[in-house]
Amino acid sequence: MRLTAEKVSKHIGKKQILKEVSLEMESGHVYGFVGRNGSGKTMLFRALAGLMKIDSGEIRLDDKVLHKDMKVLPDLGIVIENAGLYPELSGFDNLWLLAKIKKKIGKEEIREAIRLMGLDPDDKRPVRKYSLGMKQRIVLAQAIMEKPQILMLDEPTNSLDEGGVEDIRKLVKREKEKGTMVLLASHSKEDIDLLADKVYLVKEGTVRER
Amino acid sequence: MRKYRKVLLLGCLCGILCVFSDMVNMEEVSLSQIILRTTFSQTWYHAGFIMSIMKMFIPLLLFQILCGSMIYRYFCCASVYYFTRNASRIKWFLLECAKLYLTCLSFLIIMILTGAAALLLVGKVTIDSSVVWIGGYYLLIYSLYLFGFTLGINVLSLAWNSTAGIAVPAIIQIMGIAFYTMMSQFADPVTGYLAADSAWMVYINPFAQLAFGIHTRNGKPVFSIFGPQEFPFELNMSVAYVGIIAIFAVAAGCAAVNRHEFITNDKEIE
Repeated sequence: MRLTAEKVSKHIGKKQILKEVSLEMESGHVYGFVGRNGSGKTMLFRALAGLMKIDSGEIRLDDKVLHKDMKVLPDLGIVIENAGLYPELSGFDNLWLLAKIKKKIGKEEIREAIRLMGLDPDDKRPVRKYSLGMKQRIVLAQAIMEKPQILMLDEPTNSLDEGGVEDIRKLVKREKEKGTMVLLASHSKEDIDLLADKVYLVKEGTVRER
Repeated sequence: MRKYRKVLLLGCLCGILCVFSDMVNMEEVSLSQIILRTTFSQTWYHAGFIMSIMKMFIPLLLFQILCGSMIYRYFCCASVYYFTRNASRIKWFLLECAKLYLTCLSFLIIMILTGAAALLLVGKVTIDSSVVWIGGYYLLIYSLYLFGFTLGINVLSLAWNSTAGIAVPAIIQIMGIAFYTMMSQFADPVTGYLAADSAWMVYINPFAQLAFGIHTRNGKPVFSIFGPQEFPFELNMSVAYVGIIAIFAVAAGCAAVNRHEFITNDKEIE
């Protein structure tokens, strides 16, 4: 599987948030994205996922073009920085609501994903009562529960303790070994150096290989 | 499911507070009389009826407040995770519209049935033959009206923001009621009826579509405490009017949902 972005540009209002971004990524590799806050990492992930339309350029998954042949990337697991789940539902109920959209997995797979992220699938508390670390873990569980072929992780170690960070590193390595294409945006130089096969620098909407 | 339970509970409460309380002193009522009471048939386009009108209108307003975020809520909070899994937003939206419409129907039916059941405890409730067409028009006109305005709140909230979403439909409806009660100023001072050349005031008013007391069916008044008017106001016209509102809301919603870009994480904190 190959995900390609060719001269992708996007502006919002007068601000150019992505400037002729070109990338080529393959399954079984981890791609690191580093850049300051506001550099465009999250917007790049949103554009690649199909959550926003681009002004020019093309995003392709193998021979299919995003927004022409498909509306969103199929088989995608994504974690976006600061994006939470429904606060009034429990962790399990949140994931069950999301799983019912594609109907690819059942309750047991959800429970397994929640356990894998170190949480209790039987916890009835609403997500709004979770700690920041728990919220991050449940969001990660939703990203991996359907065993996606593409995994986009935007600041996945935010709010996690040392144990949690180690769990994420193991998760990324495991996914890579399974052949998943992993896109990892992080402020942590250590995570990027440890995990990424290729690193891209994102600066003011431009992307270049480090 | 929690939302549907709240809607059913609201329907029951409104059935008791609005329907039952209005007719509790009547020893014998028919189901069509219950429906006609709910459709403002005991009112006229005069300011003196404002309290009666508001009493019967409150259930519709409460429903809109309760369900005004039924579809919009998917664009707050977990919208990123929801819509990366949902390839066909229009198909999803149409399914949500269908659920919303069924919710509107359920609410109206529960309200009437609860009111009737409560009246059965204190008196007699009969089922007459008129209930078929009165009930049919009631469900059709009121469900489409409720659906159109509730969907409008959802769509405006999504396309614009939640403040505009609730304010614009509320203002339109309240102004409709206000103008309806002021129409008596254009009516004949002796008969109290509007002249035929003023009929347009009735035809364009969204609230007037709900007032069975000024409607006609096949040229005859549906029910009027003040007798027939100079112009026809067929129930079928109101079906078409509210149907157009509903179709417009669905079309606007399809466009809004399809074009929406997930630039921020939660639409509510844009």
